[in-house]
Amino acid sequence: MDYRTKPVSRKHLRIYAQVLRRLFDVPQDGPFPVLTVLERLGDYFEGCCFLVVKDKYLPKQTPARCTANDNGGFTIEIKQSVYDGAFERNIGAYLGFICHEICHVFLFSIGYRPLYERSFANNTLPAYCSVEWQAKALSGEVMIPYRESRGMGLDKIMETYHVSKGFAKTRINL
Amino acid sequence: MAYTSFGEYVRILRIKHHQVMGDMAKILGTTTPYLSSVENGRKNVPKEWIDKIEKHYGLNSADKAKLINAVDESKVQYKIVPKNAGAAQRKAAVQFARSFDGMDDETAEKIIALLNAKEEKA
Repeated sequence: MDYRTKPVSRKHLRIYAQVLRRLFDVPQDGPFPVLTVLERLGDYFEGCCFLVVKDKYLPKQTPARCTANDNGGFTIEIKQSVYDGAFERNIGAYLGFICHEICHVFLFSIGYRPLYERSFANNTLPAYCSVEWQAKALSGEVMIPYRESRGMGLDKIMETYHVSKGFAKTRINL
Repeated sequence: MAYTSFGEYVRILRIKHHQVMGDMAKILGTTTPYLSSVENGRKNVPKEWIDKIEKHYGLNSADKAKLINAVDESKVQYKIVPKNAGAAQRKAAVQFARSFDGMDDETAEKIIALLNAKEEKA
């Protein structure tokens, strides 16, 4: 499920990535401490919190999700296997899933909100105005600083930033 | 869904100690979903956690008092031990428990203050 929002350019996403790092006092280079930022989410985004749930409570294909809560913020729900995998084994894909949800909260807070009540099927909206694509692209930019990662190979990107092969490949193809 | 007073207390404690929820779950000997559900007010704080937190983080008496207060404020379930209560007391307890569901905080606090005052007089 996806929602249409105002368009964003890759150039702006790179600026937003820097803003997000700055907001949480994270240096502009090096890996992004996803779980530490998750802890501090409520400090900067009012009413926002996270919840680790047993895997059976979220649909099979949903590693984590972000839903509006009664406090005017969002609750990020994360499957136990995803949180524990990110925490204990630093699994890049899992860190990416969590960062993706943090990016949803951030983008919403700076005005990238759904334009219509209706939802759209995945991959039917132009990427630049898709809520899902924007969060995914921003999480890539946040986790892999563009300037620092210039010229790095696939393995080097994965090792330096604790990201999945998919994220690293996307960075190389940009 | 929001953090309870306990959830907020331990979140700040973790940030101060450069830890995340996974670290604290290990310290408390529990799972991340269990700790998370306690922090979000879905479950009560297990009593033994107070000592574990106090010892691990070296809390002073003022901080421990804050922790205990946070735990009290975060209670989502109250246990009634039937063997210690008469039939009338049990009935009253159940009635009160039902009545408190959905009551706003201010009213609930006023009622608790009234009951406390009554107990003090007795």
